[in-house]
Amino acid sequence: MTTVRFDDKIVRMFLFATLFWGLVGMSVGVLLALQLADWRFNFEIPWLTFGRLRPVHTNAVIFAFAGNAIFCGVYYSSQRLLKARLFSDLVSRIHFWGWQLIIVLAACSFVMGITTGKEYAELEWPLDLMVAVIWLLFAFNFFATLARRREKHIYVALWFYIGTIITITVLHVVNSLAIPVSLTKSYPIYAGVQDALVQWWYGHNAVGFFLTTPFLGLMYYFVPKAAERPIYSYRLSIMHFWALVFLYIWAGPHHLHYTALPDWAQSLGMVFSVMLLAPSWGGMINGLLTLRGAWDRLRVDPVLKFFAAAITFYGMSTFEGPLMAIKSVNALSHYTDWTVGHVHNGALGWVALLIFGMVYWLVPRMWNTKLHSIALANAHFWLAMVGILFYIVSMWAAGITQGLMWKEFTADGLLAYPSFLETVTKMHPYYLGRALGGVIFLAGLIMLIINLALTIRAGRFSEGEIQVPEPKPIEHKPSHWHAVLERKPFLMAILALVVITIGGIVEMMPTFLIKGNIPTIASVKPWSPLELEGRDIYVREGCYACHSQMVRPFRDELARYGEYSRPGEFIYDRPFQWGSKRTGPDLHRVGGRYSNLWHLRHLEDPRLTSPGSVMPSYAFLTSGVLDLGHITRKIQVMKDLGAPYSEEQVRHAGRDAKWQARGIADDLRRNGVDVAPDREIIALIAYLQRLGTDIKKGGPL
Amino acid sequence: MEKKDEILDHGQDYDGIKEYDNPLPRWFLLMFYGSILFSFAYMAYYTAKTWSIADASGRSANLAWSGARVAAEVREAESGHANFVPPEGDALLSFVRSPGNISRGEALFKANCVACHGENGQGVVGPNLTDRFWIHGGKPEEVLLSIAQGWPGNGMPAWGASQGPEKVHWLTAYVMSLRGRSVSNPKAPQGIEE
Repeated sequence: MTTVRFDDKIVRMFLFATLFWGLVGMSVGVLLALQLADWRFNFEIPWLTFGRLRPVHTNAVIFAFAGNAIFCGVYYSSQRLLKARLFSDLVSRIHFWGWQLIIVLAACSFVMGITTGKEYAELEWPLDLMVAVIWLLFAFNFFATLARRREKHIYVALWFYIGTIITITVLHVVNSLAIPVSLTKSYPIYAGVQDALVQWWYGHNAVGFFLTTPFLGLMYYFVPKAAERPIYSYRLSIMHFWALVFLYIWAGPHHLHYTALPDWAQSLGMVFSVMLLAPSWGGMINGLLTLRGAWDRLRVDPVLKFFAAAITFYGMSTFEGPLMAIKSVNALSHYTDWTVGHVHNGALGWVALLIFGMVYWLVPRMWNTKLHSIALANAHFWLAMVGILFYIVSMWAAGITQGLMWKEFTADGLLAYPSFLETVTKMHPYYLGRALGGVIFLAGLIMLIINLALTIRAGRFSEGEIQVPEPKPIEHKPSHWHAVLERKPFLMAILALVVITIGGIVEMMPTFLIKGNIPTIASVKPWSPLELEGRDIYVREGCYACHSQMVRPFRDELARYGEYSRPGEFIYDRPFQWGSKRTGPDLHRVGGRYSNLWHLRHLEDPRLTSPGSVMPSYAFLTSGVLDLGHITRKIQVMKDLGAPYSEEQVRHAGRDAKWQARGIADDLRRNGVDVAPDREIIALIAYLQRLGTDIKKGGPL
Repeated sequence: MEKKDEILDHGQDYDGIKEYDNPLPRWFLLMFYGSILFSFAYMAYYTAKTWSIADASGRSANLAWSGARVAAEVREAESGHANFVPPEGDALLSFVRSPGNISRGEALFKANCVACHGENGQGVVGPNLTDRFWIHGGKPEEVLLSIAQGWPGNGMPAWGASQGPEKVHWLTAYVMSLRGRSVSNPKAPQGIEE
């Protein structure tokens, strides 16, 4: 017999990081909620405006809080399931510190406005490269440990980890492909419709393979451990694992219903979302029915409380998701707070509660003691429930109310709520309710941290050990066809790769290869140099966090915004900026709708032109001087990517930008306001005035 | 009938975790197979429909279904307003005085005009519409023309093309009703007193 000592120090490091980033990420979330309830929480500081802060929140809770929790749980459970210490202590530590460094750099870059403008993939290219390197190190460490395992069969939790590692690698690489302009700016190799399709293939599967599969894996380890009950059904785990990884990949287009994405791709996104319901519930069934025989302990054991609630929320979210993916439901829900509520149903209800249960279970075991206070943990549980309730109910009410207001017509055939602003100010009480829910949930997290800190202080940390027979354990004959695969994890990884690639290829390739999918429009021309700079400012400030650029083919949107958006209008948009939430109105047809002076006034003080608006003030764009240092390179990159600029236009890009800026400054002066033509706000106005106007210069559609 | 709650054994030890091999619940399988059947039927129905619309209209199949759907929706909604005959002279005067037309115009004004002319027409970036001063004339015909054709040099868009003649007339009715209204912080007068 030999002794295997597990590397639990790395588990401890990831556990602390989970709690720290959870606190940071959720605090930023509360600040954002307050900003929507009252614009003054933007503090008129560029770094703290909603548009720049939102990616800090989303990335912090997804990749820092949930990410560190995944690494913590995966490293703890894998070593025990494989009866082997992690392959390399050094790789583990590079993995840890590399990931934390990325998080810090990410947060700094987002508040500075360095962003790709693609949701949940906002990191610019140098950080994308770092993520790829660190993620592959994690993969290497994991697979090398698998190769050294002393348990021939690999348990279902590990299948989910394998699926996660393979898929996240593919998603990250494909979605991040871009041509750098400078160290802090790049343009994606995809444009418009294609960029949207790739991005939401990524975005949806970030939910699928970063917030679902790894946590199902953790559920399969920690729930039976904590409940001391057998997993309900082995064959159900096989069925729902393969069905989930195959079907999930196809569902991305449900984020793009009624947009300029081809109808057939939207339909595929919808039906695969509907088919996803059963495999998702397979996970819920296996989790909840594993708790059979342990229900009585739920009253006394906070860990089981958190697990049971997390699995229940998983079931609710995976029912709500397919529901919202049905096109006629989505017609109402999309762009409203219902989506925000749905996301938090999953993020707070499923991911966070599962993490809480996991750390409440882990800490007493790793520190060889008892949880400091069961009562405090129970109190945390109920606070979390109340917090989620406030959050989700507020968002349901807000989303459905606003969605219905947007669509309502009077008997005369006019919009019943013609002023978009009126539908925003109606949201105020719900936004207060949401902020309250967030504060309550955050308070619960603080209670958890205090409880665990006191537990740790009372205990003594030690690394886990087991005795194993050497050199190798006795072999067993596989008793089931799938059990053969469970003895060959690398074959399983390759199979998983094949399975997840199918959906992506079938949905993406036609839009790349078949011209008819994105019919070009002769009058749509590339952005002028100044407009491109303005567009980059629009991306930098995260305007897409609150404004869509996608008029959907609905009567109310035609009446409110104008002609619905066509695929051919976006072929020079890198990145696409269709958005996913309308806190403010759609902007695709804003070009030419207002005067330059109006835009200036509105950007400097939104409440001057739009009383009650929750938009931050962008007066700092009037003092900011436009940096034209990269304009030639920018136009050159766009030309290389296919925009029909002439050599002349590339060479004279800077001159042309200044010339156009002077025109706008002259117009402002004629209307009584002096703004120097070299200001950032001039470029942004140039971009806004061009938005969605090219289509009107052509013939009938 | 398969045995329930029997521990599975293929010689593995997963850190003490055991597994049953219970059969999948019937309702669960029905739900799964049902969703697959629905999906095939849905795809077949909508693909056929999209192609037939695309063939009939000569348009690309890409947004044929969405485009046809919204066009029908708008056509139906506006069918009652297709035969609008622009009133002139005295007919225009009585048109702009009709309370119904004024309230319809108000809804349109809130949607499109308040951003520049203010919530009550008091003027922000655009001129005050409640005073007696007019830059481009304050008679109904003149206001109608300003709205329909715009003054692009001054930032006033042409609304005729996007709104159509009937809505432009309703807007005129509302704007005419604004004159003389007392508002808080009105913009300083511009243009000629009428």
